[in-house]
Order: sequence, then structure tokens, then C-alpha cells
Amino acid sequence: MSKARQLADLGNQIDDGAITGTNMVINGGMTVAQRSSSVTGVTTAGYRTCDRMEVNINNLGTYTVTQENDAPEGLANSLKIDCTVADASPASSDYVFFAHKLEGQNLQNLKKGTSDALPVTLSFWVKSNMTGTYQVNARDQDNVKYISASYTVDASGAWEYKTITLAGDTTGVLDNDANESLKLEWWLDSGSNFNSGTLNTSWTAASNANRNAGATVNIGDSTSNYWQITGICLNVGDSAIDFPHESYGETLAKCQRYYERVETSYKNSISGYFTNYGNGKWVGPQFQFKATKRATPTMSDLGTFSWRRANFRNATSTTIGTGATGFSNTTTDSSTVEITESGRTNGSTALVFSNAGYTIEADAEL
Amino acid sequence: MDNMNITTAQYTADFNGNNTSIKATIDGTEMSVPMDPANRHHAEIMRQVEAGTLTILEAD
Repeated sequence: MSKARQLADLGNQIDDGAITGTNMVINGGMTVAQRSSSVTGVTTAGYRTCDRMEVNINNLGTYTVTQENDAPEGLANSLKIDCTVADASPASSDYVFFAHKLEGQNLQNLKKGTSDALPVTLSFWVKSNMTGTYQVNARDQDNVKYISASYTVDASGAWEYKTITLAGDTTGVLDNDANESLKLEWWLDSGSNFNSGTLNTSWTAASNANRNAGATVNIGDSTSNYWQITGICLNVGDSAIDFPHESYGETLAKCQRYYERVETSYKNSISGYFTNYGNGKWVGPQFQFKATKRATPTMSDLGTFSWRRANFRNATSTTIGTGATGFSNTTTDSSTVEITESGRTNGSTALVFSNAGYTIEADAEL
Repeated sequence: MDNMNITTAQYTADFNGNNTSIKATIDGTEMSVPMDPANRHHAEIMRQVEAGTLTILEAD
């Protein structure tokens, strides 16, 4: 390629915002996996291993979802979906797809819904034993529209780099808020409700029949099947930028806006003066999240714990609760632990502590 | 298309009797779900209530 051509391409990318743009996908390199690095027996939708990456399954086989150390050169990790119980005859409403969801307020630079709407380019690395054609969609959740594209896996078991440019959309403004506005979908299998339509490569009203209409592969066909992905990048412009590497800490901080896991390893890990509000609950001091959450998070604790209330000097503490606790006063920045113990006086205060390590989840995922 | 398996749901009230959250068992895990429409668990609970497939019990 000539220098003149390279300069012309560079100018084109600047015009499209690609050079100044960044990757709108969080954790596209699959480096952060706060929940787990491996989950077996997956049969339903959820965030399983790599942060911000959702595996959607509805009655179509059983899978192991893992964060792998296997990746193309220059990347460290990938997410793998491995079929462990096959279902080669899915019912019409069954499906398997992988998704990443984006907030509307982070997409305003796309100028969607205006005459100046910009194209975006989706790039990623994929590896599978299943050669053939796959479908990927971008779904505008605010205006219920789709644009789709297909890509092929040409060789079995080899990393392949794919780039897909999606046209700008001059109708349908994305909401400028913290809710889901755009969902990227990589389809892997489905019943007839999702593959009986046509592949729409321009923005059009959403129809379930079109969501997997362009695919020829089905991950649920065999327990030999797997699909891996990494290096996901969505940037403004009609050409892909190089995957922008960032430190683990930077990616973790971005992920914690959506999900945070607080893990401690020993007793007394949560302790302090708890107050009894007369409804049989001790309410502890507020603990702060490391990152402000996208929305008020769902709180849960993991495992079985023992809570103790300290007594007078030289007296053994009293076990007041085991198992799940509750949470109250949860905001996007903090929460409090609740521990049940009946018979306490309203307004009384006691030193309460956990008798083992403690793990708390705060989930504000899209 | 989230297909969460929600098996129990009960309001949690503060000292004044105001509902402040929903204690729910979702995909086998007990969770404290805030009363925030932007929270995906709250949205799914309300969707299932509207569909008539889930009932939220009053607070104890």
C-alpha cells in the first residue's frame, strides 16, 4: 500500500472518529472474571465467568463456560462455551447466544437517530471446531431495531480475526441514560422461532425470526462442539482499530460499575457496632463499594457464615445467625448487612462480627 | 429474553413498615433485590408478576 493510500485511509478514519474513538466494549479481552473462571452445567441465561459477558441459553443443551488462558498472540484470555450435553433437535423457542450489553449514555457519540449517524465496526477473534456461517446482531433496545451480519469460521480449532462494519442509523435515537440501549449478540444455535426469517444487513424493525436466520452451525448438535471469543472491540468508524490494551486494574474498575465481589478470608472480616431496630434485625455499619454502581445493585452473600455478638469481657460471644443474611439501605455507593436475632431491644447496640471469611456480591448488570 | 428462575419473592420492610427491597431466590441464590426499575432482577420480578407467574409475599 502506498503512503498516499495510507494517509487517505488515516484521514478517513479520523473523519469517522475511529482514531479518536475507543473500545465501547468493556472487558473485551476477557481478562476479568470476578465470579468464577469456570462454571459447569450451565442451562440458563446469566453472567457466568468473564465480566460483562452474558451467556443466554434456553432449553438447548448443557454447557461449561470458562475463562481460558488460550488466546491469539497479543491477548491473554478468552471465553469458551463448551457443549457437555447435546440437544440436536431444539424446540422452536430454544436458543443459545452470547451477548454484551451497552448503556445508552455511553453511545451518544454514535449520533444514532440523526442525519449524521456514524457507522461502527465490530472486531473480534473467534475459534471453534464448527466451521460454517454464524450470525451476529446489534439490537437497539430503545427502538426495538436490529442490524445483522454474518461471519464464517473457516478452519476448525484456529483463531480467526473478524471485522464487521455496521451502518449508522438515521432513525431511532438512543436514550441518554444508564439503561441498556444496545445489545451485541453472537448466535450459536436456535429453534425455528429464531431462524425462519432472513438476515437483515440494514437497520430494520426487530423480528425474532431473523435473529439467527443467517447461520449454518448449531453448537448444541454435539458434545464435541465449542466456541471461543476474545479481543472484542466496537469502535466508531468504518474500519477496525487495533484492540486497545489496558491494564487489568483499569478493566476491573470498569467492570465494577456493573458487578463487584467483596471477598474476605478470615473471621472478623466484617465487624462493627450493629444497631437493633426492634424488628429483630441488627443493622451493621455501611460498607462502601469500590465503584459507584450503574443502578442500585442486587445484594447477595455466598456460602454459609456464622455471625456472633460479643458479650461482656471474658465471656464467650453468642452465635446469632448462620446462613444467609439480608441487606438494607443499599444505594449505588453502599449497603449495610442485616442479621436477624429476635428478642433484642429496639435501639440497642452491640459489637457483631463474622466468624469466618465473607463474600458479598453487588450486581448492577444490564 | 432473560429467563431467570425465580422461586420465591417477599418484600422486606423497614422499621416503619415501608417496603424497601424484595428478598428473592433467583437461580437458586437468595438475593436482596432493590426497588429500582433499572435493576435487572427487579425488572424481571415485575415482569413475572405482571405475567401472573410470580407473587411477591408481604413483608413479615
